[in-house]
Amino acid sequence: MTLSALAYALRWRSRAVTPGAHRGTLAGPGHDFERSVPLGDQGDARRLDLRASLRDPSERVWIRLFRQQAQVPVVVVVDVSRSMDYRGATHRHTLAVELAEAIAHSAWRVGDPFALIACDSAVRRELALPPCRSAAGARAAIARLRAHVPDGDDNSALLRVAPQLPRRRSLVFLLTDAHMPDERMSKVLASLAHHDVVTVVLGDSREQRASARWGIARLRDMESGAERLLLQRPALARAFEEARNERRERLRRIAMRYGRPPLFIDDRIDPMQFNRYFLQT
Amino acid sequence: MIAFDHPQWLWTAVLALLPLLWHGQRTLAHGWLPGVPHDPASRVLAAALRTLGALAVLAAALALASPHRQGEDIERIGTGAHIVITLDRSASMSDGFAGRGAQEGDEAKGRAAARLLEDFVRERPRDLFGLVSFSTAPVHGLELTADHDAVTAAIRASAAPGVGLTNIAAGLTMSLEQFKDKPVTGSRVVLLVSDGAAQIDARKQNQIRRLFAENRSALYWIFLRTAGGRGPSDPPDPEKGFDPAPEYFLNEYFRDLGVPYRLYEADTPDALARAIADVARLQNQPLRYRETPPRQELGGLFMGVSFLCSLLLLVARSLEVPAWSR
Repeated sequence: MTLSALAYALRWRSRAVTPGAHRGTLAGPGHDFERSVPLGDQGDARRLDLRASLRDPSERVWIRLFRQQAQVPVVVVVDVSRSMDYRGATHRHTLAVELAEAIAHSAWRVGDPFALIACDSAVRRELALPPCRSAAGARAAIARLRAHVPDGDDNSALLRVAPQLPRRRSLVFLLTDAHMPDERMSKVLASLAHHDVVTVVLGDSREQRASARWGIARLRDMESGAERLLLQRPALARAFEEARNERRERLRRIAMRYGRPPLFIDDRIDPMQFNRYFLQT
Repeated sequence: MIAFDHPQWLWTAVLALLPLLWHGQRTLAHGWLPGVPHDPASRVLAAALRTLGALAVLAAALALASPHRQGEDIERIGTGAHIVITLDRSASMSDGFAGRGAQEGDEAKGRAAARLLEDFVRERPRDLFGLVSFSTAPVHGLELTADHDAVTAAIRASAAPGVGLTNIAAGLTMSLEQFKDKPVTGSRVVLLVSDGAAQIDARKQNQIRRLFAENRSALYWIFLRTAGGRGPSDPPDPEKGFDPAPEYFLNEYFRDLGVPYRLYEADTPDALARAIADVARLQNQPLRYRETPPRQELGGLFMGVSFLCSLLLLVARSLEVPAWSR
């Protein structure tokens, strides 16, 4: 299964006028049955609702009305603060770029416009891509993102992303390592509450775990430059595991308040997991 | 109190601040430290490593300044006395005692004294003895020593018939010189055994007085009276005309020395034995004295501390992991 097999299914109706691949709200050609109406000034006689017509004591002819499929803008908001440059089991920025690329491809396949917004402590305009359905545009934006070396001191600009998004309800993928305080996470999600936000937490099994072997390690925070000495030992490994689970539980609780649980992607993108996520939520 | 031979090296102790400012450890990048669990043990270790570093430098700096400790004086109680036997070897010592019933063939004074002193020495195994014999000039017999065989041999040798006059001042001076530069670990006694006395001129008197005061020595004078001779307790009789009575004035001078002093007049060997027994009893009292302990070099200690700290740091260094969580 390749990354191009990523597929997102939505449970809400797009209000978009433009036909697309998702359930919409507008009546039109499609196979999303809305209701049956007597054949009058609206409707298509080809969509005859035989059962309703026969059951009608006044012997009117009923036809079915359908809703047309609509498109949904897909926006990838990617965190490019310096911690995204972490190289553990994998290079986190590369992982984010790959995921963005796969999403762009999926969007292009179903005809959804794709937009990209990158931000660290500021919204990086040079990396942004406005919603577009052009495959070339998306590829160029992804290439720019791939060449970018994350160097932001933090990801506080995530709070200012909301005005950059389409006004219509969109599917927003928030690609971040979630290395920020819980309040900020909560505020970011609140500011994006208008949209369907999938928080993709890019974890790294080596970053969030400690070796059980004895040793001394001095960790340096990539963003703040703060340092901390750690005595590596089995107890610390357990504490790391505990802290990691607790943090994930907290993130889950925050994200659930805004509609969806986070999608945790560790080390590599698993399309099965990705697709299952959309079927389950 | 700790003192230093080269205090200028103490300036290098400022370098001990460096480990507190720089840790010198390899750092490993991590995405988000606030997400790392708090670990008190690690914090203690971090502080401990820095302290060890500072301590290593500090101890090395102190060691370079070659520290040493001059201890407080310690009060000790000594039991062994230091006794310098000052033996008269003038010609008259070959004569007999003055006591009643003295007759030809009696033991000579010198011989009796030697015999009794030998017993005295044998009974006091913990004491140090020195021996000075004098007649016209003093003879340095033995340095203060614990070798009692040598002491008895020296006493026995001095029992041989003597010659010349009684020059007490020179004998006493030489005896007191024996105590010079020796630690005071027991009471000091000059045991003067003589059968006569002599005038001591004023200069010598002052010198002897000073030596007694410096060496804190007691003086016991065992006077062996010659037949027909006078004793120190007989005052001069003005009716007899010119009478220098040197024994009497010497006794007066000794009393005036300001040190413990006793006079024993012995007319017979028995009296001599009693006198010696009395001296032995007096000198069995313990002596309190202060002793200055030798200076204690602390450089090695500080060097050891520095080495130990460095060793621990080396262990910590070898425990450093090259990459996080691998």
